Amino acid sequence: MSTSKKDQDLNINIEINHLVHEPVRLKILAYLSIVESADFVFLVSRIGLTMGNLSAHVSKLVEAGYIKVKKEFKDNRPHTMILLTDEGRQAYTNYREEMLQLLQE
Amino acid sequence: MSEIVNLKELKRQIYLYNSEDGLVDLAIGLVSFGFGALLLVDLPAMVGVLGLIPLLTWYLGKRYLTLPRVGSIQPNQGMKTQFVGFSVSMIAIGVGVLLLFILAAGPETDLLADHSLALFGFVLALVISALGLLMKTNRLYYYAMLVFLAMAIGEILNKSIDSVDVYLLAVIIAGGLIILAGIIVLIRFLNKYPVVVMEESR
Repeated sequence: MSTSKKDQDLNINIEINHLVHEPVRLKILAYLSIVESADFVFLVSRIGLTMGNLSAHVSKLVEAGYIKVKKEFKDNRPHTMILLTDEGRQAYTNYREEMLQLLQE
Repeated sequence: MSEIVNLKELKRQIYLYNSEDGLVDLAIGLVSFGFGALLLVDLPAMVGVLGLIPLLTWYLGKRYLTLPRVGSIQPNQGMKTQFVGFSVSMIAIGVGVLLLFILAAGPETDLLADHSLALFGFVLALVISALGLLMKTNRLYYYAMLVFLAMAIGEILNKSIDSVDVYLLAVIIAGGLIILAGIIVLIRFLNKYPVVVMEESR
């Protein structure tokens, strides 16, 4: 069976990275892509999630190697900073390019 | 939560991060108000202490009001470069103004010497505008305009009114208005961002 022109046009040949595609994780990556690093409180206040909910998303991104958690002490209190890894930056950039390509098609 | 990820908006939020708590407004207002008030009550020696006000306002405000609500970020290389550019510009402005004052001491430049107070206001306005540019915060441009107008008009009126120092009064009023605006911005910030409670330690 031959594929019609219309079917060919609709044949979207892009594999979406679902780990990045999820809105909360996409926002986390987007924020981290424009700063050096940010702490949990910053992401909670900007994204509007509970700390537990954010932790779950952060864990997934850490497991994928997209972000790194850096623990430090600030004023004698533990303080956690989160930063994007090279792999995470690449995944985020690829996702944006793929989405732009998809929308242009 | 909105599911729209607008990178431009996120970048804008990052730039506004440093000014949305109103601390920069309070620091500018307190310096202006303090400068006028100390000179009005004839305590010029205390003016040097004014340098501590923005530092204390910034440090204490950030530590006890801002950080528990919106956390902290480390700026990226681009932002750090902008900050260095800002610092260099401020030094250049300082040197330029110093040269102007030195030139104003000469007999052929009475115009500058006559308007040194307005010139001081102009320099302050430049510094505040540069801060506005760095923080991408438009209201700082209005403060810059207010400070300059207060000092320029105050200087003009001072020459015709002897009973009271209009220049210092204008500076105090400008500072008071900026403090008021800063308090409003701070209250809105405190209402918008509650303190984030750490549910679990990571």
